[in-house]
Amino acid sequence: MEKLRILLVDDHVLFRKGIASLIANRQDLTVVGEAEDGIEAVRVARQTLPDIILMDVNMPRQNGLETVKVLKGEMPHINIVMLTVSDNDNDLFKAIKYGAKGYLLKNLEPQQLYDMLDKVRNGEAAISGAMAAKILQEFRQPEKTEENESDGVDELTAREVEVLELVVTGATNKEIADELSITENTVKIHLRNILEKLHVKNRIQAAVHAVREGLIEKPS
Amino acid sequence: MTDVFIISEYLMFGHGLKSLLASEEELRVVGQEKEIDRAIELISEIQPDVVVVFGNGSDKINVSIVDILNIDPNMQIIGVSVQDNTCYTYSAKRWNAMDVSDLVNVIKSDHQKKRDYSVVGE
Repeated sequence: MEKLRILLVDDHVLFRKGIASLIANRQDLTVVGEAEDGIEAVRVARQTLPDIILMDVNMPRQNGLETVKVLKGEMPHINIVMLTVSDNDNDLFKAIKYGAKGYLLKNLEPQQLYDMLDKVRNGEAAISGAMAAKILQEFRQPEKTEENESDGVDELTAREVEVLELVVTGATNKEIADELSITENTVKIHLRNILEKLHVKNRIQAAVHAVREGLIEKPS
Repeated sequence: MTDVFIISEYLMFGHGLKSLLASEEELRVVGQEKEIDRAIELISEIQPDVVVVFGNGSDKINVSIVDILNIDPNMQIIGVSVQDNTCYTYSAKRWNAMDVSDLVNVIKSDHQKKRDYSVVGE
């Protein structure tokens, strides 16, 4: 059996070296390169043309999701499997939409990782159980109309964008209420809707998501 | 030989480190656990020299570090963030406060050390 050639992309050096060490235990797997962010990943992928890329999601300079989009545009034959601590629905759905062949969480046992890599070698998808359940749940939900669907995230209203812009600056509910001349209760309702639409749990995640996804302009 | 115990909810971090340390002659991984409460039980039994905790900065992990140091203040704990490449070293100093002056002296002593370190670091 030919060795499966793997490129590891993760900004966490201990994790990257640890995975490389685990992969070295297997005769049928080999690490052909490592990269610590998305930009370096594209460069190394061009040089090494791996069979599989194990890719983190959150990385500096260019995150894993953007990198999947770039790589699948340039080298569609390469199988990319996300390997991340992020169980965020939005990351999962974006990764699949951009062409990832799998989505694995870093709480796998080594044997589970080997099994998943075998699956990808055989043309199957590699998805952690919990993440597969999220995908099934998404399909069980009533079909979304084109009007309210955008990248798997519902569109924010103009007012919600205004609230989100202030959240990003670190403003409190009271400060947002004063700035927009609305009550604090109304701010709370807008925030609740924002969290629901962005599939995030709190205002910090909402702010990070808003900046990362370009939903608002970065505060100066 | 230094005995190392690894705590990692994210199993891949723990297994990866264990694999990396296997080639280090003077280090021996004596245990690995993902559940914090079970890990504390095992650490009490095994009494390793060093505990490596992979964490995401959650309150539960921070409390656990205190729990581990209560088992043995001489145990060294290395916290490794799963978000980035930051590592922390924790150690404890246990003493009895028989009088207010005991606390005051420790505060002064620690503050002086901090100043000394900052001079060294500059």
